[in-house]
Amino acid sequence: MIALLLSLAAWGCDAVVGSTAFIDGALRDDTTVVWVDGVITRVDNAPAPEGCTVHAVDVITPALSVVGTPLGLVEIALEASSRDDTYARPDPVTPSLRVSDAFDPASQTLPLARQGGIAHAVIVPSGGLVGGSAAWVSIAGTSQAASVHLDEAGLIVDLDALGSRAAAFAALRRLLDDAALWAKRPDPALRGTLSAPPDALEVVSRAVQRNQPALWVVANRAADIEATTRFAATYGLRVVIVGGAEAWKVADALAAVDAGVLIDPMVYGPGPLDARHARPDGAARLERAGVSVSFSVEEPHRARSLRWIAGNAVRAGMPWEAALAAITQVPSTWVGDSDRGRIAVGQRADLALWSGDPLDIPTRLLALVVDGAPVSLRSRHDALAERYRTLPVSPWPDPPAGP
Amino acid sequence: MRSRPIAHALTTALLAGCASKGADVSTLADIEAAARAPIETPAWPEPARWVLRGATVLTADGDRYAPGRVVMAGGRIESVGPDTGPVPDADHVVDLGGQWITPGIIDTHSHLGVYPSPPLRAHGDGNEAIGPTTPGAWAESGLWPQDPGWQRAVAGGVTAAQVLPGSANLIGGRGVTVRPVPQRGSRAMRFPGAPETVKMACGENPKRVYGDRGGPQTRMGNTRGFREAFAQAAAWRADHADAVSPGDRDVDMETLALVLSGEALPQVHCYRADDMLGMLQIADEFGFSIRSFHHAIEAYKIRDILADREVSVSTWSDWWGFKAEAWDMVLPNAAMVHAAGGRAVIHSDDAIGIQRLNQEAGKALADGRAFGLDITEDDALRWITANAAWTLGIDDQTGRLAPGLRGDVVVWNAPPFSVYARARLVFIDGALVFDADQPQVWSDLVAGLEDAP
Repeated sequence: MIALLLSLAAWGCDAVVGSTAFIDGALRDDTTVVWVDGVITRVDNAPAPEGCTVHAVDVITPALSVVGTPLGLVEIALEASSRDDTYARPDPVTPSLRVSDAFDPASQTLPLARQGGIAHAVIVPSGGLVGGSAAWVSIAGTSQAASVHLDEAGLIVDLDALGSRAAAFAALRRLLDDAALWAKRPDPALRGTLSAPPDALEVVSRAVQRNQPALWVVANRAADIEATTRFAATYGLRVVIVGGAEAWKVADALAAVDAGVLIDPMVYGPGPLDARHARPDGAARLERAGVSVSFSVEEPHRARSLRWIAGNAVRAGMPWEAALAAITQVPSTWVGDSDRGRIAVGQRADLALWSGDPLDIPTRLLALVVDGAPVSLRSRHDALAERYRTLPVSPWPDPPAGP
Repeated sequence: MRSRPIAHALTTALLAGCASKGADVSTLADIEAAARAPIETPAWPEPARWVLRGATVLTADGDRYAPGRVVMAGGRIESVGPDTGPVPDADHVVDLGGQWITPGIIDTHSHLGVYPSPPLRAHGDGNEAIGPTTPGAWAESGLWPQDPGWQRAVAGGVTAAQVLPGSANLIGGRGVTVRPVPQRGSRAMRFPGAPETVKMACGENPKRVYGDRGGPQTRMGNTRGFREAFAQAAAWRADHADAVSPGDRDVDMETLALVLSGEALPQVHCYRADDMLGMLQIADEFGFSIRSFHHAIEAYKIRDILADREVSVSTWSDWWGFKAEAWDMVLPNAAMVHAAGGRAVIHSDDAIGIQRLNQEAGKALADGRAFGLDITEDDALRWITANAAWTLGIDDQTGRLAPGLRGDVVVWNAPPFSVYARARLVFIDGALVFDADQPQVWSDLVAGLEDAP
């Protein structure tokens, strides 16, 4: 398998043949997937084209995506100087904040996340009623420019920020109304009467206009989620609920407004008071009700666990195919990226190659392919483990010879 | 000893103990016995005679039987072996073809009950952060038995856990090893005969908590604080080893005296290799042995020393990066400790993690193998059973499937290191306490909140 990884060409024609592939929401055996210059060109069961480098792997899936994470924004969580996901905010409404400005493609959290088969992320700020814009990024790029797919991938809303959920909705209504007013009549005379500066209102308008999604709303309690769906219906917004511990109780209301739910299937009640009715099969129930679901990882440092978190949803009753879709095609769909998240002709060749069932623990990632080329999976952790493979380690393994 | 309400049987014992030393003088043993005296009799199901047969049995004792058979009677394991020969008479004979049996899981590091869920401010009883040295604080006194997390832990196959004070303090106080089953008070949850444990913490936490509250402010201050406490304890113990008159009682010194005598097992929160070496020096200086380093992110750097000194390593599979001292994580940490002949333990330190310790051990197993280390499933199982039992000083009672040990047994519906594995049956002391097919409500907090199916 090592030889396979080394032989993956950066450009040109590559193919897997005879693999089990995740295609159109189902596992298909004996599949050939061909990609050329970073784009998938064939998905069938015919032999690979002449001159194409062929790789033998057991299982191939789209590269995974993790949603709602501060990956690349937090290095050492307790060191404020290394955090850019949150800040001492004088103002609870800061739509103009873009986390993509702070995304660090060299963060040491990223190689470990890539080892979990993750290539893309929806990164988010935290804190504040409207904390800023999420961004849709690659976590395998070598620069910000090569990493950021989308600077404004919806606004993050935290209903807890003002100390009263009712106050949060009141402030949100005013913000959206003002954004609509300013969009219609950008009259400088209005400035003193608006609830946010014009630049902030313009960001809000763009989010509402794009609506993929307009808002990511942090909420766990069923009542708050239901209130969010009513709010979304009133304003015609697409929302994704972040947390969603009790979302299963209002699954029909969520489905009615085409809302998604980002959920941690490991957390079930009674954790926080807002999650008293969380249950292990909450994700499964949402999926059955037709609500699109993806899975969150608590900490950016543990993002590699995403596939096992999906496995835990399966353990609790979710169909395997739905759990894998939740961490591949659902995130792309939420942010409106039609080029990624599936194995299909014309899609970017962002692929994860596995030794077996990607949702189970013994399975290893063999390669992560982004834009058709294998990306580095080597982490500082690997270097450290290697350095200490035999003890004692001298601080100077090879003492300098001197001039 | 001053009069206070204590159980009748113990009063008698105490009076007998005091008789030789005059009415007002106690020994440390008397004081301990009084402080640990039960009030209520633990509620406990009657253990039946069980024959579990046909499953793949992993013993955490080096053996694997497929198909295997485990017989429990009178609360103890009667026999473990291949599923051959006549089936003995029993109250329950359960055919478990295709399923798996392991010893009950033991978590060496939990804050269930002292930081319960829901995480209400009113229930945060895990850090007595009034000062950096509070050995006289006991986790048992802060442990809320109604924490609904207990039931979820058992649903994850946990049959024993050490509940520890938090790590704000250099010496946070006593831990308590418990049975995670519903009782009206924490004392009834005590694991029978488990030794006392004492929580200590080095590194960032104490200096962060006390940096602007009188110190310690630095790692220098941490070490100074340990030396101060143990020097004082050594002096107090020299004066009171045989007799403690009422006016000389000092609840902090009483706990540290147990550390110095070796009766209480030190459980030391420590991440960095150099910090752990510093703590070993303190232990040497005052003549006690550290039982386990907890979290021990950098244990792999000093695994030879830890193995040599028989200090167990209670760590995670892959938690890291939340603070600077957790920066140098390597995925095969537990596996490297194991391969060096040390005792690796996968602990949770987390209300969610305690429900999935089998998965965490599975991750550490897979990562060790990926690093090229030769590790068996039985080895990895020991990380959450036998080695954990040793860490808590209960390895002569539980942690393996072996005749004579307590009947702490889990039946899994799938290979236990698979993400899909669920505990189907959980036995504690030979009694069935959890059956996945017959959900019950344990915690008062959950009563009345059951959802319609």
